[in-house]
Parts: sequence; structure tokens; C-alpha cells
Amino acid sequence: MMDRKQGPMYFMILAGLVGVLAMGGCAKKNVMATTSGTETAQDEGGAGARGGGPGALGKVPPGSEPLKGFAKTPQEEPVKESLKPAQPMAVAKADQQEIEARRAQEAAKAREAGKRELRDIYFAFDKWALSSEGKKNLVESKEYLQQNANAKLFIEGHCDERGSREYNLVLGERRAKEVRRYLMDLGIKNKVTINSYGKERPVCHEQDESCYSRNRRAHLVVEGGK
Amino acid sequence: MKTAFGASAVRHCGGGRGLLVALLVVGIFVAPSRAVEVFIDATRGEIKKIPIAVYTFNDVLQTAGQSPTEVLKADLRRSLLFDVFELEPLGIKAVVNSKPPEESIRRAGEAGLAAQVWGLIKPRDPKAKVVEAVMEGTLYDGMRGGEVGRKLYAGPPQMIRAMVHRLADELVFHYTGEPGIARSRIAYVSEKNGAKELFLMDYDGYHPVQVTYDGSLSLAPSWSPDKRRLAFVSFREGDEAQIHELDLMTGRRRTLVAFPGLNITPEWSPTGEELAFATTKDGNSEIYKIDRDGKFVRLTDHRAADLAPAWSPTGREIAFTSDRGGSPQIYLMSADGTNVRPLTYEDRHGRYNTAPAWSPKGNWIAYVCRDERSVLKICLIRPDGQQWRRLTAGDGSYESPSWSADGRHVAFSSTRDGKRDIYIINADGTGLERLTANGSFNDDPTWSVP
Repeated sequence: MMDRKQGPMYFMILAGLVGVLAMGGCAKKNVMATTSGTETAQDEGGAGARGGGPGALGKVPPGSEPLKGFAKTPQEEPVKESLKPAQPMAVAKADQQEIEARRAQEAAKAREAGKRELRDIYFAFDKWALSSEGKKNLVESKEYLQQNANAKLFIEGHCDERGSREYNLVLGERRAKEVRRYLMDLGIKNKVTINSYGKERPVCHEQDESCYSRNRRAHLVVEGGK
Repeated sequence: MKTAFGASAVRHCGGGRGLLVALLVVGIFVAPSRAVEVFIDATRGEIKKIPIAVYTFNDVLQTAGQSPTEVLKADLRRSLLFDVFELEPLGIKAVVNSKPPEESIRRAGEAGLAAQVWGLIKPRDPKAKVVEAVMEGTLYDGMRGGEVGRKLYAGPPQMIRAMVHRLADELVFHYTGEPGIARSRIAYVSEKNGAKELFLMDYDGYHPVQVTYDGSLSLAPSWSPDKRRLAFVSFREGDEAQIHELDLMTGRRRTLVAFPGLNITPEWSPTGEELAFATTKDGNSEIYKIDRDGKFVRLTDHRAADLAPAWSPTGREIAFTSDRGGSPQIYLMSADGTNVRPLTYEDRHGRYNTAPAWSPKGNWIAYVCRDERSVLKICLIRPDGQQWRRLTAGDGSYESPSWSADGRHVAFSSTRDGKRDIYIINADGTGLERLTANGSFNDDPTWSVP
């Protein structure tokens, strides 16, 4: 316990001083950034890369208005929900069903399209260079890809959880690109699409090397093959 | 030559008055013997907290959950600007009927409690079908006696916590001129039905609200400085990670960046006029910014990966991750892409340093580092590289640092208690608090302005 007799005494002085400060007028101004401006037109669904940058700062959401300070006869301040719940909530009800329906649809489409998984390629910790085993497996996959030259190849890059979330997205893409480059060098003519999921879609969650090594992978899916 | 309050005075006032107050503070503290201690503390950069007492709110509506009195006390403690004292040990009743008696205010004042607060929460019309809550918060002056002033709030009963947060920020504002952080929110990523969706919660972990329903991956939210929009990474379109913008007031959504490849790590400039991000459209990851007219400016040009831009509070500098030296390290550059120089070095700071977050006060950059066993932790470094330390201790992996607007706290995610959850910690490593415990995977916290 602190010394209540003496301790708070200088707190008093301090608090008093701060009070003087606050009353001095200078600190009374609103320190919260208040911004105004017109909102840019919404181009919902439009792609920003093809026009439209970040919007101008708009109206401040309810609850974020500048502080007004204490007053002897205060004005009543309304405190409302700042989010517009209507839109998300409406979606929420359909949420689960919609996701499941979409998943089922995708799976059916995959079956129809004759999706087929090739062997996963594994990588060393923090690395994107192919191992000799990885190369061997890709040579095997090459046979199938050349026999099905019209089939599309999808390569997904994945990482273990020991890298940071954002850097792993880049690392996963490097792994996918390395696989693509090697297959191209082997002479495949298939259309190739790559993507990276970083560490967002692991195949296991254990915190040990046997799981980490399974997550450091390139996953290859072929669509439209026989 | 400044105390914490002296410093704050200088910050918020014109030069002349600030100097005057600083001199006044020093002048007063040099005289009595105890003043020496205060002075020494001040030179160590510690803040002397303002003693404050909270009388138990008269809550006619009997708000469910944590009582408004406890919410306010927690806010005041979390501000790190107040020392919340209990009244009962001083022999003063905390529970009062209509308002705190003058005798109590005087006695608490004599014990050094200049600031005393009480609140009254009641329905506007007890007979109304739809209850509207009215909250009145009163600040008393224990030194001079009487009221300093009041605040009056009205809204639906579920907004009582928000009213209390607002009252807490008014107290911070009254005593320091700062806007406080109790009204701030944290955007984060949570796993739901196998997908990763964006959520918002109050800065104390209450009131979670889901804001995306994509059923895919939504990652890396960044608040616009007006707290109205979120930019984030969306995998909704499947084969490419795009940067989308969600207007939280209208629910509208649009695509900001959709180059072929990965479009990741968006961060708004402090003015909200520009958005910096990384894209792999050029083959490897480079940092770009996009302005209000949709014009893109390339900032980095290197065959290594450059990503995760973090603006300095002035908007003049950008910290980022680059592995141009062989391993990922933190670099700095001017906001136009010139003057690139390393901030962390493999031999001094370890071989894996990423995800910088620049403190709104400008004095620290938080980032993700790795310990000896290659487990992710949070580290802090001065922008001039002069000081460096690990912020988090303990088991588990730590990620995604994000600063509170007052620069006194860092939010992050960690597996220290098993599943990945969101925590906040004071910038000095004390005051760890867990915010999420919903049994799901929670990550990528991003702190809004108040």
C-alpha cells in the first residue's frame, strides 16, 4: 500500500496543475481529428485496379464524434450503434447454408471436370528451393501432364506456422512458382494457375516438425484430365 | 526538463504556454523534499498517475454483465493515466443513493482524491415499451468541493457500455487533453465454418460483431483513420488475393486492388488519402500505394520480396519487410520510395523480422521477431535503431502487432494459452490482457482510433 497521507498530496498538486492546464483553454480544443469531405461514388463490384482508389474521409461513425468536455448543464449526447447491421445480418441467416451449398457445388463441379490431385511437393523450413525428392516427384507428374496437355494445372503454395502470416503468403507463392518453373523447364504445355494460401490452410495443427513439414508444401490439382 | 504532464502540456499547447507550464511544474517540484522523487521519476519517463475514485453507479436499469462502475474503473486503469482508488478503505461509502454526499467528497479530497466520479443510469420513461437508457456522469472536485461538470448520454440499453467508455475518454480528455482509447475498436480475423471472416470488437474484448460473410479467407484488416472503413485482403474471388474495402456505416464493399497475383498487406496512410500495399504483379512482391483517384505509385523496385508497409504517424516514412539481404528484415524508406535503409540486421536482431507496426507516437516500431527456437514473438525497436527489446515473454507464438491510438498498448495474437487468441499488453511489457476466448481461431488484431 502506498503512503496515503503523503502520496496523494503531490498527486493533488499534479492533478490541480493538469486541471489548470485543461482550463487554460489550449487543451480544450478537440484533439480528435475531425474530417469532412465528400464521399467518392461507390463502385461496388468494380475493380479498383481498373479505377477508383481509397475513398475520401467521410462522416465520422456515431460514437466517434469529438469529445465535448464536462459542463454544468451538459447537452444530451445520443449513443448509437455505429455499424449498419442490416446488410451483414441479412446475409448471416443465409450464411451457413450458402457456404455449404457453394462448397457442394464446387465439389460437384470438380468431379465433373475430372479434378485430380498430383503428388504434393514438400519444402525445407523457410525455403522455396526444390529438394531432389521434390524434383523426382515432379518428373513423375510431368508424364501425366504431358499425356493430358489440355488439362489445366493449379498449384497452391502453403507454409508452416513458424513464419509470419503475411510473409508466408509470399513464401507460398514462391514455392508455387518454383514448381511451375520446374515443370515448364521439363516441357509441360498445360495452362498453369498458381496461388498461395501462406499458412491459412494447414493440413495439420500440431506444433512439431512432422506436422510443420507436411504443411510446407505445394499442392497440385489437375482439371480436365483423364 | 519535463515531467510527463509537462510534456503533454507542451504537446497540446502553443509553445509559450507549454514552456510556462513546464517551468511551473519544475518550479513547484524542486522545492519540497518529495518533489525530488517525482523529478527523478519523470526523467525516467514514467507517468505519475492521477488519483481518482469512482462511486458505485446508481444503475436503475441493472445493466446485465459487468457493472458500469467496473467498466469505468477498468477503462481508467487501462488508460494508464489514472490510479483508481477504492473509497471503502478510506472509510467512505462507495454506494450512494441520489448523489455522493458533500462530506464524502471532502474527506476523499483530503485523502488526495481530487477526481471523483459518479453515475446515474435510468430509463428516460419508465412506462415506455422500448426502454431508452439515460446516463448521467458527474465529475466532482475533491479539493474545492462541488461539481466540475457533467456528461449526459442517451441510447438503447445495450449501448450503456459504450456510454461508459465515452465517459472514460472524457475523463482522460479533461485531465490530459488526449482523446483516450476507451471508444476504440479492434478489427480481427476469426475462423467460422472453416472460413476466416472479419469481426470487430470493443477494445476490451466485448461486443464482437461479424462484418464479412464470404466463406473464404478475409485477412489483414486496416482501419481508415476516420474509423469508417476497413481495407483487407480477400480471397473471395478464388485464384487471387485482392484488396477490398468495406464501409462499416453503409455495409458497402468494393475492390481496391485486383492485380494478377497476390495483393496483400494494405495499410492506410495517417490521413486516409492513400493506401500502401504489396503486390506480386511484377513477379516478386513490391510495395505500391494507391491514391484517392485510383492512381498507383510504385515505391520499391528490388528482385527480393518487399511487403508489409507501415506508415509513420507523420506519413513521411514507411517501414516495411524485405528479404533483399537474404533473410526477412525491417527496412525504412521515405513515403515516395526513396532513401531505403535497413533498420534491423540479421547479426544483431536475428534472422527473421517482419510485420512492422509504427506507434502513433512515432517512438517505437513493433514487429514480429523469432526467438532461439524459431518461435514468433513481438519485438520493439526505436525508428533510429538505438533501442531494441522483446515485448512478449512466455510460451507460444505471437503475431500481428497493432498499436492503440495512444501508443501505450499493443494488441497481438498468441497461442500462449493454447488456441490462437487476441491479447493486449502495455508497451512496457506489463498489463497483459486476453480479449478473446470464444474457442475459435482469432488473429490479425488491428486497433482503431477512438
